[in-house]
Amino acid sequence: MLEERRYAGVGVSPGIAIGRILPVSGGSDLLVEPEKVVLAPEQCEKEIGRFDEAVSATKLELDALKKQLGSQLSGGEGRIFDAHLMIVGDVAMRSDVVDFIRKNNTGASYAFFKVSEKYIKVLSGISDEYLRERAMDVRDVAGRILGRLEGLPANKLALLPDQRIIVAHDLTPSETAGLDRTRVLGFALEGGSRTSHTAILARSMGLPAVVGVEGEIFTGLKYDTRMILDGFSGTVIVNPSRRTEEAYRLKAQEAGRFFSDLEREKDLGSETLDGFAVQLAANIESLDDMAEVNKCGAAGVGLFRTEFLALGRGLTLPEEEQFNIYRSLLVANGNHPVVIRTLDIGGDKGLPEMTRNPEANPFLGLRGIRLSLRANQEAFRTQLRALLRAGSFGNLKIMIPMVCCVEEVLEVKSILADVEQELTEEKIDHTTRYAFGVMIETPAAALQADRIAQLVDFMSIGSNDLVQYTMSIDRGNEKVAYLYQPANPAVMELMNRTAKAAHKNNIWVGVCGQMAADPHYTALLMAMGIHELSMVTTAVGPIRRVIRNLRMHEAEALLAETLECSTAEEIWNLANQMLRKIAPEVAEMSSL
Amino acid sequence: MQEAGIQTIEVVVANALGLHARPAALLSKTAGAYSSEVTLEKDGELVNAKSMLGIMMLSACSGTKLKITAAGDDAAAALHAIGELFAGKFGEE
Repeated sequence: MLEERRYAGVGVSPGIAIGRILPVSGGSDLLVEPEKVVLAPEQCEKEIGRFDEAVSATKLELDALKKQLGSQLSGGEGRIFDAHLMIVGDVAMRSDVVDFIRKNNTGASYAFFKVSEKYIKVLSGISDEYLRERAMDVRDVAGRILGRLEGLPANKLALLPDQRIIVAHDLTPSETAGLDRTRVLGFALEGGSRTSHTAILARSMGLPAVVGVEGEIFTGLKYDTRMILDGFSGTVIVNPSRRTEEAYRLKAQEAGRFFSDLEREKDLGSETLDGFAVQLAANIESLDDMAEVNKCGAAGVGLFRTEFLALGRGLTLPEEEQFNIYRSLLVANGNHPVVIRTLDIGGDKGLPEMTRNPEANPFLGLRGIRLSLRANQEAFRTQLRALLRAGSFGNLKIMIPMVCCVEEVLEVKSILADVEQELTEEKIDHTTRYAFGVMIETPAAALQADRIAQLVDFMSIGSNDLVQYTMSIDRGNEKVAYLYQPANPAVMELMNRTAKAAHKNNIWVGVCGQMAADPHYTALLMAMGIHELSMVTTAVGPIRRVIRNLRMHEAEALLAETLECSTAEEIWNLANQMLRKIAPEVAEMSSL
Repeated sequence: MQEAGIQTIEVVVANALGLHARPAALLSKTAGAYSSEVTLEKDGELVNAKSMLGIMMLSACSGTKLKITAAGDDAAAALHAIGELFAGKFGEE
């Protein structure tokens, strides 16, 4: 009987997962089935040559890696390298691949994938633990070789044999983009934070996630290890006993009941006990998410991320393709507003094209609207054309990310005017009745909110980046994660200031960052006079429940009190007390 | 010295953990040092003894009987070396 081990992390996406794991160590081991290509027989010999080349290149790569790591390797790790090297050069595997290519006239990638799949399957079914572990080694090596064959960087592949809990240091957006989402039960990550990409993705998929798990968790993990992931409390349990599993199954049922109660409340208004209403909208990134939007009863889309449309497909999606997506999205939302954010890449969401020339400081580099204006203006114009054309079909609001000065707003407005004129001249149907707004996510923009508000129709506070830039921390860096403080008085002041500027200029202001989804901040944001809260669909129910239990004068008193505070901790404690008083069941379920 | 050709020996896996990765690696390395073709047979299942993965696929646990066949010029020497590995339990308990 294996010993049950418990680890504490930070729950960043609610829910409970119970199942087997897929350890992803430093990338390199996610495999996807390559396309099956049928070739002429003479081509097959070339494919065999290509396979041999990929094998020797991988061998060299592993050798170099082993040398480079040298004395840093423990005995066990060194042996794993040796095992990997033996697998790479394995004669039986090679002859199987060669036979497969000749017999089926397929390309090397497909043949190799099929052969390694066979080995992985047999090895992972073996009762001996030692041998089963080698299945993981074959996966690692196969990932590397396949990466070579497909011309991919070594860590961009995925093979999920069945439903698994992904255990990894952290995953890059392009790695998660390749994941088979139907086969993921949840994420346990060593690195990352509440606002890192994987956490956000997990919440949008409605899957539990725990980050900041001690690195020790990786020791002794096998391909088949069972795990319980508690996204509420942040607990991760390796090799759970039958009793523990039973207890968690009950807890999962309870959570399920809570969420189905909330679902029944989806058509109730999002207004306080004393009648102050706020709009609840959804953050989404694909048309598929509309089912979730309807299920949670969000009134429209407060943030439609468009960078995910481009991920893995090059920088520019053709205008027609974009137009079709935006039109469907607008039609699906009827009269409800749809805020579409223009391409927001750079920072932690790089495209392969950009990672070739990395910036020393991507979060302070060419990202968001800067990239659209300075390096990618053709793609930006294409996107605006598609948006304006689609705008005739619904309630369109265009939003630009990462604004830090008035000049940027002016420049975009002039480009928009240009594009409108272009469309008019080409006699192409488009809207002239859209709204144009900006994200407030830099301290500079928040401080200038009054000037910016005079130029736009709305502002939406991107709290994740606003916290990061105000506190001067990289939110993915766990060494400074303790400084990621949404409740910091500096952040509160900037948000309050932005809200006031919006009121003064008679425009609406929203929050579309993580703070909108965190029930601890709902009362404070309401008191600031935020008009719209946009969040992951899974948060809409809990936030609606909080609002419906709230009285505005209580919220205002809370805000007044917090504006006198000097530390994040004081503010957070006050906010937490309030939440526990008005909606204890939500406080219980929320993961902080 | 026996004549070159096809020769066969029978061995029993005696080390407690069976033919796991390390013994499989050792065995495939040893077999790989000879030019003869060497195959392992377990209950009619044949694998190339020069392949670590092949050996592991047999999942031969402690007590398993194996037939080892070598074919080639140095068949006898190959079988001798391999037989020693099994007799010495691959240096394990």
